[in-house]
Amino acid sequence: MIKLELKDVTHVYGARTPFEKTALRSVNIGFESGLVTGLIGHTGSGKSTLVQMLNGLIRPTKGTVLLDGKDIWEKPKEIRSVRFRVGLVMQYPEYQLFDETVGKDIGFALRNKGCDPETVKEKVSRAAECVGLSPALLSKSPFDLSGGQRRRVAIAGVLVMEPEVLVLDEPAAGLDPRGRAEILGYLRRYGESNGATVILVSHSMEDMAQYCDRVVVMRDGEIYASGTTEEIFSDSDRLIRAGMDVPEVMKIALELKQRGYPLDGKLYTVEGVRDAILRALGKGGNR
Amino acid sequence: MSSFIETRHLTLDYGGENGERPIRALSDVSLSIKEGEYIAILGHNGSGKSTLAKLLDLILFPTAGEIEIDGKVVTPEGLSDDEIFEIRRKIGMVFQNPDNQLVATVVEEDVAFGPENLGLPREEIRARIDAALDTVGMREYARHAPHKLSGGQKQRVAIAGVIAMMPKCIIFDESTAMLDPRGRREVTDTMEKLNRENGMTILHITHYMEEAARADRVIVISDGKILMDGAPREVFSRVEPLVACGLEAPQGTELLYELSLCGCSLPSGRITVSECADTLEELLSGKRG
Amino acid sequence: MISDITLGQYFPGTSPIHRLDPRFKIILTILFMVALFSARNIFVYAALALFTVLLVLASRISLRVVLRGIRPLLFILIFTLILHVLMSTRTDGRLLLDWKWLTVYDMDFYRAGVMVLRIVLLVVGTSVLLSYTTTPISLTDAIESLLKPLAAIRVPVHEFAMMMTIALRFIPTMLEETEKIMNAQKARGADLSSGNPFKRIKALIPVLIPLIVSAFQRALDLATAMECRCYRGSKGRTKLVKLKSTPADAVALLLFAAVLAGVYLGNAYIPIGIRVG
Repeated sequence: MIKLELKDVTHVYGARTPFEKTALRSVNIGFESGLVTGLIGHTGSGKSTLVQMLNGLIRPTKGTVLLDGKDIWEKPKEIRSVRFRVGLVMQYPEYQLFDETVGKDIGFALRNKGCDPETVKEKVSRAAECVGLSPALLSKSPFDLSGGQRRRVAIAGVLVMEPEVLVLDEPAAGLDPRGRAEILGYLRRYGESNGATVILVSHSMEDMAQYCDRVVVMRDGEIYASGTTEEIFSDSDRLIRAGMDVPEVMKIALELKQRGYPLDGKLYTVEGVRDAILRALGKGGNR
Repeated sequence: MSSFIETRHLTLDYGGENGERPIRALSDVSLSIKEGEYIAILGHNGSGKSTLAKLLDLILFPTAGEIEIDGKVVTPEGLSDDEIFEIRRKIGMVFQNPDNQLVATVVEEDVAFGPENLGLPREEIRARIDAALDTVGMREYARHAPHKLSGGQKQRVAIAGVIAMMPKCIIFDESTAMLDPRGRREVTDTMEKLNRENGMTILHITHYMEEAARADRVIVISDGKILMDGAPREVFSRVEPLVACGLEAPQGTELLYELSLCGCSLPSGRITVSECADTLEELLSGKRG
Repeated sequence: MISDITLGQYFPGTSPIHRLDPRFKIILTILFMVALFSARNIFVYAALALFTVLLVLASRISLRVVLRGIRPLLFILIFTLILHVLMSTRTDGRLLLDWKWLTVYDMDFYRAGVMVLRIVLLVVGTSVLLSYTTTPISLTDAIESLLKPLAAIRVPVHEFAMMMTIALRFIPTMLEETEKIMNAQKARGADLSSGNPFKRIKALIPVLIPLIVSAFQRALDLATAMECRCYRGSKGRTKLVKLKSTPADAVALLLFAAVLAGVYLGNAYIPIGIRVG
């Protein structure tokens, strides 16, 4: 089932000025309910514009955005209610923290929604747990935390709304490998346990391969390719033509195939290639 | 060749005022860097790798131990302003956030900033700007405003600003962390070029393995201590300690490691795609196993 | 996008006015302002208005752009007009209205009209001479160069100019950042655009605090980066850009001096016309 859909969406910045720029051109794309969809493309491909359209931060110049089949701009005055249903975590979200304590900052969205203090308290501690923040941190000032912890606080500040759709623009940018894996793991788990639709923008093909069910590739303001992760990665030529990098382990697998060794399976993750080689050696897929 | 930078039992504590317990960021780090080396310093967030960079460019002074830079010894007592000035013209720094290190509203005037501070004559500054912008491939943007450039372009302008001062060594303090893949490639390509063609000493602090793999030597820092120090293929083939300190091995190395856990006998020290493919070909064709 | 608002509204070009030495342009602007405030005669004003139009033509900036620049001032102009007509205590000319404490003479209208004309000419003249035709950075260089004598009495001229340069460099960055933070808070359901003024100001706190925190962070980062590039104030520092004046600058200076002299002559010797001010 399609949860969130863009229909024939075009967006132009600074129309009729010398700075006019078309960011999106007749984009049609649907995001499947309950799945993790990866969105990938170079800087300037229109990703950021598309992402800000999903929760009504940008109103498309042309076309419609449908949430559960309903146009989110039907009543422009009520666009705020859409933002509670479609949570958006921007790039480097730790810069948005402002409140005295971590707990208050995470609860900001709920206070905006008008929740009572009891509910706020309960949901804040649940959101903090979702991203692995210890309860002791809730009474600290967000400005006393490390960069990685601040990132989690900012993400919790969006998760606290328990959005049906969670959109994240490069949630792991600048983190070291362990921090990366932790954050992406938390997000995947949030999606699974809440039945939420997750849309993950990333520059990393490795992340796409590992964490996403579906992948959308954007290029020059248009959808270049979309499908299940397996479909997208099985056509590696198409990815390379779009100037995208394929995961390193996939390059090795492709090289081996080219040298005449038949490998099959999920050749875009380390585990997938490992199992494929073990099968080729007749050792079975498991250890 | 004697070393250009040498640290001896270098230790640095943060805080410790108001009776609080100080936090040890670096402890007993001794290493030697020769002129012309291309070194990657790897470590997880908070490992102390950036602290090391700050000590080498005299933004911080050691709590204990000493650093010798091109014959000049830096001790916990610090140095005079003139001595600091002399060292800083030998060691340039490029920082993480491309927005927070450009001073001027026009690219070439930003590149001029360092040479102006050195008090060089106008003609000399002009020549250095042109050469520096050529080196980083940004000559055509000389009259552009920095805020209109991409992240990678801004970092290349920052690099030009440093090379226009003609230092012997450049330290890149996580200069690729905030860039997209294209920007990262632009910056690492520039580093490699500066090292190979201009013989400049490069210290690249990063947590991206594939960038570190391009260096001649990799130093892994964890909890303020040097954990490993060697050629990339030596360091990366030790998958377990890497993972234990929050890092990872390149995917190819990881694949070989996983396969060896499954009972395949494979050599270590393979990191590039073609090396890994060669090794696996031997395995699949039955020459190994 | 918010970052596309050009600061100081510089229009790139190669007109004679664009090419003048910015130091001279500052002096010319001062002369122009003195002339404008010295004029005492409606005919002199008319002549100055003509001169201003000639300046606009020489800058090759379209009249439409110049008029658009006045639009935000419309409110102030109308306010000035009303204030001058109603609040004037002068009692000359023909009495048009006499109601309680309010008296309006026809001369009040002339004086108000001249006041408005003066503001319009001031704005048009200075924008054509300075903001539309001079990059902010060369303006800063010019100010530094003109104020340099003050450095002898320990006025921190270099530091002041460096501060201006950095401010100019960071304004677009901070505008972009403001937009980003506003969007981030809107994504958390913040309502930044409704309610009474007091509520709206309160709603800006979640935007202002992150903005200030990040400005401090940027300032710290930049200071470190500048020190690492061997910056230590004006000590032993040379400069890449050298401002160069040309004969055209001297000609322009003479022209403006002549205009100023003309204004004084006009004030003294044009007997007809209505004296204002």
